Amino acid sequence: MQTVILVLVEVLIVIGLSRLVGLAFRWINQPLVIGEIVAGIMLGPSLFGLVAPGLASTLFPPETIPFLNVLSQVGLIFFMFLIGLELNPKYLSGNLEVAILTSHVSILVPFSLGTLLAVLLYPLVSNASVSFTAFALFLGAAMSITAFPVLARIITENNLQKTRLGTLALTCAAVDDVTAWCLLAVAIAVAHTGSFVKAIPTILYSLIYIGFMMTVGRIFLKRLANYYRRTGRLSQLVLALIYMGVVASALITELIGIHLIFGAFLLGAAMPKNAGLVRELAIKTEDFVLIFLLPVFFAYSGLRTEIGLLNKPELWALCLAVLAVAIIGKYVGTYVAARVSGIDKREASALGWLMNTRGLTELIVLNIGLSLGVISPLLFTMLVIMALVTTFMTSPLLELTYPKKLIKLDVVEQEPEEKETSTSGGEDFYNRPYGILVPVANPNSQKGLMELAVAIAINYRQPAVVYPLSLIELQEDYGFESTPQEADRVITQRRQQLEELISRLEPSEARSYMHPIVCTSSNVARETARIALLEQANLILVGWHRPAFSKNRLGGRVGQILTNAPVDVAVFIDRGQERLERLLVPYSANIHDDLAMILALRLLINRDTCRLQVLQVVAENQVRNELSYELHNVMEQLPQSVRDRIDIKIVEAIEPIQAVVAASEAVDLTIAGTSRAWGIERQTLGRYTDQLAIECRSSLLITRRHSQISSHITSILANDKLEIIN
Amino acid sequence: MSHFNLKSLTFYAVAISSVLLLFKVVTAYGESSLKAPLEIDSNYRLMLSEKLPICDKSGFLLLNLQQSGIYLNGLLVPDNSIKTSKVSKKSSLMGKIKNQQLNLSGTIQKHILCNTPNVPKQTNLIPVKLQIQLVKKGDLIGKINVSDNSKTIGLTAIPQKTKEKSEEPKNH
Repeated sequence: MQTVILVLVEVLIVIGLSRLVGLAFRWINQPLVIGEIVAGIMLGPSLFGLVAPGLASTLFPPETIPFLNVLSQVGLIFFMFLIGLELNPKYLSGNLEVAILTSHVSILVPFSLGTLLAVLLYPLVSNASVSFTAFALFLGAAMSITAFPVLARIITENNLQKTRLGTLALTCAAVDDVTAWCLLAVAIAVAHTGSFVKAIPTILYSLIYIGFMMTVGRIFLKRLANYYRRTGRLSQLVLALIYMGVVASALITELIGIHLIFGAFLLGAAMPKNAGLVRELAIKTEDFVLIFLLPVFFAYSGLRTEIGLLNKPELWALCLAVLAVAIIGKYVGTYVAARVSGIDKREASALGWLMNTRGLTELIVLNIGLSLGVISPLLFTMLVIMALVTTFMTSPLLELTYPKKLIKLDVVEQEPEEKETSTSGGEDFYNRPYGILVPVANPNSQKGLMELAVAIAINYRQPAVVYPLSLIELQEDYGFESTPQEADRVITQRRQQLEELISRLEPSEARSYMHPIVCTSSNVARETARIALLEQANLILVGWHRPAFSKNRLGGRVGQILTNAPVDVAVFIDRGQERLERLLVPYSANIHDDLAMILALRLLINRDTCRLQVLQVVAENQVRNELSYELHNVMEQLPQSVRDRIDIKIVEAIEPIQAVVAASEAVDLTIAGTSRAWGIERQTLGRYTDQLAIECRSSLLITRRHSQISSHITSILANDKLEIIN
Repeated sequence: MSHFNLKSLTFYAVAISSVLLLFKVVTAYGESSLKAPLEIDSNYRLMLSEKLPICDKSGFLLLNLQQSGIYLNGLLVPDNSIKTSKVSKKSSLMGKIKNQQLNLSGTIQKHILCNTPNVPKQTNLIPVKLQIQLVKKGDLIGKINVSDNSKTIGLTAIPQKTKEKSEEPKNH
């Protein structure tokens, strides 16, 4: 087969697999990048070459590897440019004194331990063509790395970017990143020349070039930014100039004798941080680099990773030693420095785990080391395992030492409305406010949903709170949108939209019950469920619109929330009726219909003008469905003024859905439980017909019960009784 | 800024100097006292002094070595099949360098050892032990033992310039 065709087939496999494994890792709450690195390793001799050596050698023959190398180097150059571009001096604004101390100690300790480890490893896994100095420098540098880009995404994903811990970690990682790149540049220079003394000219040239870029280069780039400000758009000509600059800068650093990536990084770092320019440039560049080129780099790296080389217990012991030195060095260095700076134990510990994230940056360093011959394939494999483990462990260990529920208490700019919520946890059941969580996907079109939430929540007998929830879903690990700065901008924008929606709500008193929550998330359904538990919400009220151009049934995210949320869920399908006076509950005596009834009763209690029609559809000669015992008890306790407004109607019909559809003509809102009787499946993931959702003439509220229905009404009834006694 | 006060600067100066001193001491010790094994070529043509007892005729073998310090993984292939993919390599010999001697052992399929590619694939694996004395330049002398046989056969390992090596320059 022609080499070019083979390379394209390889790229096809690489992109497909890296997306697939990346998504699997996202699903287990791990950064996408770990999945992509693992996908690369899977394609190499560690898995694919092991189980199907024949096929592996046919698909990845040696003659195609140099092509993959070229693609991956191009990818790396532009990726490093993006990292430099996103390295905003704003990250250096928080706790600078603590951050500089912590980041320096967090480099010095693992570097020292790495140097000592080199004494053990050099005679075992290196060879005489590599000088000990270069080996020790590389190992020290590899141990000291903190991957700023991965860390920044983990911080954004955990909504830590506004917390003291988040800002501190970002500052430390930014300082670490720059220091580690300098260290690596020295290591490369020494590896090239063989000794420190001989490397001095290279280091000098590098310093001169850095100075040039930060002065002359910056002046030129500032002009470019001014031009952008005037025109307001990034033309292809300007983009071409910038890309040429990236490649030229990369070539210069290569000629100096360090590495291509430094020039690209330097140009990115020197770019003026004009928000619009950075955003447009990043968005235009990142898609192709992140989707196409970076997975090729992971595959190229994976082809050089052979876990099979660790074929003796003593080698696994060495691998463990490498892992231990890396983790302990980084953790202890960070922890001690943070503690000395007055950070409390929990936060210092969380910072220690965060700084252990090595991810992709480590992989870049290791590949350079392997290509230079400074590290052997065996040590390369050990260090790749170390990079994977240290990145993989960050999220769970962070959650363990610094659970998400504590994050809210530590927000730098405490939001006033959140103080009240956090104190509600310890109060007893009756005094606890009735909470409704309302995921709002589109603040512009979901006023009806918010009004329904207000109607269900607010009465004058029981405290209530409505949490309009806006989750910003992060699509990609390295997408520009998931950088802390950009995430902050989007959060502020969404918060404004939510505030605007709240300000339009009637009656105006309702606005004081609103506690908006805006945060980032990588899995909207899961995050919604988590927040519902955290805020002890009684109900999740979610809106749904049937897409105009597809026959998509109730499914997707709404379906996932319905299936997974550990609280009662109601799905609102708004038909635009503004009134909420006439309610209909088709009742077929299942637990979800019980919830429908109880929500209807709550609406009756809350609004004196509301009337409820309960529709029981029976086939010919069939006995009518009795109310459940629980519901019957509730009905007994209702005040007469409420019972008077309930009309129970029994109709005989063969098709229950048609009877409900007909009855819905005359009402404002139909409330139905998820049951087959009404043509709505519990999961409603599109496998069955959600007939009522389509045919219902009024607005529709579909309920799925999870907990005791009494939680929605008992405290109101209890307060009523108290009033009567008094 | 406060982090540039005398106390902080002293701390950084002491901390960085300590690490540099430690690095200097360790590298001085490493450069003078620690000896890493010789770098060995990746491909050798093995010329046996006589035919292997399990084979009908004598032939050449190619030894592909992957070195990581003292740890070695080797692949024995018939002389006519040099074009093996790097990816598909499944090392059949493992070993170490000890006292300037390369020791490898493992199992090899008989048809590879005897260079009989036309025979339908035989699955019987033959235990093989290789010992080669390392010298800085030139051909290497060693011996091979197959089937746990007490008889060892002398061999000469001639370093081969491989395409793979020339294709992978220091292209960091």
